[in-house]
Amino acid sequence: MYAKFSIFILFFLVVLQQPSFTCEIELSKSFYQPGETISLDVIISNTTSAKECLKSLDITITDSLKLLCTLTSSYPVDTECIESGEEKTYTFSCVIPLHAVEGVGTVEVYVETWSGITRVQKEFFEIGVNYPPEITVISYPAVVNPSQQYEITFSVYDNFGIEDLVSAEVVLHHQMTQPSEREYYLFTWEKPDLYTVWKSNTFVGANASIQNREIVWTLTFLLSEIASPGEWTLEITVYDAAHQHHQVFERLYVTKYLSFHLQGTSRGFAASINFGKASPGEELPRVALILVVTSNSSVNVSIQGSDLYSPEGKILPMDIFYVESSVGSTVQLDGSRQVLYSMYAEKNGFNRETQIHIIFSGKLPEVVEAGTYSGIWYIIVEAV
Amino acid sequence: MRLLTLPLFMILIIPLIAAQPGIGLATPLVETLTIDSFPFTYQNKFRVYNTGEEERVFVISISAPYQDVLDWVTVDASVFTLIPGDTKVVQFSIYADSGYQGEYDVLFKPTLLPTQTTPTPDSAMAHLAMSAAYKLTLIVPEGVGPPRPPEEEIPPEKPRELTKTVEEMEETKASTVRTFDKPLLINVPSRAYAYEPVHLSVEFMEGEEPTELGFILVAPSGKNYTLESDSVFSFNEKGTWNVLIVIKDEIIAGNPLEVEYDFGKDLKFRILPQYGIIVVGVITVVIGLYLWRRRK
Repeated sequence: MYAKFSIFILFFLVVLQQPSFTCEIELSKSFYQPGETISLDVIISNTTSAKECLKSLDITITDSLKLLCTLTSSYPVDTECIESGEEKTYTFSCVIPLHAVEGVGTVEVYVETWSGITRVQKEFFEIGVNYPPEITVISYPAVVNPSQQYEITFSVYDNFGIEDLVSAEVVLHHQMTQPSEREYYLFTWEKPDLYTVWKSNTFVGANASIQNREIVWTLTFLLSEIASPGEWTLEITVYDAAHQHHQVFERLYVTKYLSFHLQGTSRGFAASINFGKASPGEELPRVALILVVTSNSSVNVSIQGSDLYSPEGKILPMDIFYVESSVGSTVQLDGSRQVLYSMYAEKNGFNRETQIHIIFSGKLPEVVEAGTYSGIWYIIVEAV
Repeated sequence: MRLLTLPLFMILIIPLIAAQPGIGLATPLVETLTIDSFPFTYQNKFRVYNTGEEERVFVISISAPYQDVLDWVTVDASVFTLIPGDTKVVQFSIYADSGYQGEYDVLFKPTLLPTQTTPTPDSAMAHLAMSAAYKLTLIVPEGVGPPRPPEEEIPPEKPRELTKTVEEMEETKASTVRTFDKPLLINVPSRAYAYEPVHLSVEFMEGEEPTELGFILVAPSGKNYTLESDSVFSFNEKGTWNVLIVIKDEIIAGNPLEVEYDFGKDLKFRILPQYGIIVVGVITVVIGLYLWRRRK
């Protein structure tokens, strides 16, 4: 019993290892439309121990109902030979007639050698109209905060398969039509790049998942801190090999954004105003503070002061203190929120690391208890 | 001398590389809302950014010209900690059952409070709080609500609406609070080990009523602990805690505190004190059995 089984295995292995004469068909793509030229490679491989010479190579291309093309090549004895261990590629082409029926098409290759070997090989393809790709937006952020990552997910279906796609473009724009950090962001993909390789002048991450004739792309993007607030347009365009395209539009809103930090004019600055020592009736030293603001719109800068207290409970009233802006306005602290800069924008409606100068000054009353005084003052920045 | 150079250099350089605080705010484009009828409901959100270089506590304060208008407004988070680069979306809601005609500015102010308010000796010093503001104007047209009866308007900024109250923090309800501008001495470490007793204290420089001052500790899980102004506390959760300094029920400052776990500290401060008698008993029994067997 075991002996028979061993012989069978041995026989199977011998068959597997036996030299062969094979024929393969390679089509340039899997979808063709009537009028288009189908091109195919016939690869004949000879792994027998002897040279083989072709007698004929017949190709027939059919749709589901009728013959579309016949291509025949006949070779005299010893003219078209393939040495042992070699392979040869024969290229053919045929225009698919306009009356070809939509559906499955077949390429059949019949090879015959002068030594009597025959091989038949078939390959299927699809005949149909190449429709433009179809974009479906799956998700996108309706509201975008600058300096935050978001995702746009959309699918593209092509009845000729995703290999028919040649380029895709995603544009996020406000009013301008040229790439700009403030108003216009462009992300592009082009064949033959990998589906996950998108190009942009800004950060972009891409994921792609492919299923049958559909690709789902997810792009991760981030708008700059100075991206214009307001209504933006999301525009997605995809082209196929036949230069057909589909375009979709969506609306989204970019919020206002501001950020700031404080910077002193001295080294080792802490978030405080230290007037140091002074005598009654004496002018306090002027202390400069720099407010570093980044915003996508103009800002109002306000200050809100309060009395300073000593550990013993003595008061240094807030109205002895003054705050000056670099544009000439001065306010005397009174405990309310006082605007120092109104609608401030260094550039055209926005600020980028803009240094806004604030100068604190004061004069001690003629009568004041000696001591250490402190309190909390507020710097308030509002996007307008 | 050369050996002293490095420590001296370090002493000089440390103040220069102190982490810088920064705040950011992304706000809705909506600046005005007209209330066409009551009851009125509206929701939107803003995002708070920690654009600084250190982990900080952020407090959302809300102000409005009248208490009844302020009562319309709530936020879903009023105190939170953000690490550098992190953000938090805060949702606010406006629910107005009824109201008087008028135009009301509601101001949302995410604020970075100073982490300490101690004065430098022999000086006049103002510590700076940083607020990013979003103003939303609510309009109740004539006919939608009755005219407002004469009553005292809350001065818009005085008393200052520093933060929400602790009680209302839990209810996520907006409120004004009383003035706070007195110097404090705050003793709160920035790091601690779980279960190790930590001394926390805060006091007025001018020796005001100490019972008014205290701490609210918010654990990473969200659990709250109320402590007196001079307390010893064992942190029982690993992670970032919010240490809020309060006067009565008003938050006036907040510091993050990182709690780490160390088995040695756990053994010393929790396991041995709690289970020590059992451990001693087991060891005694084991030694007793060992000696008994040796004698046999």
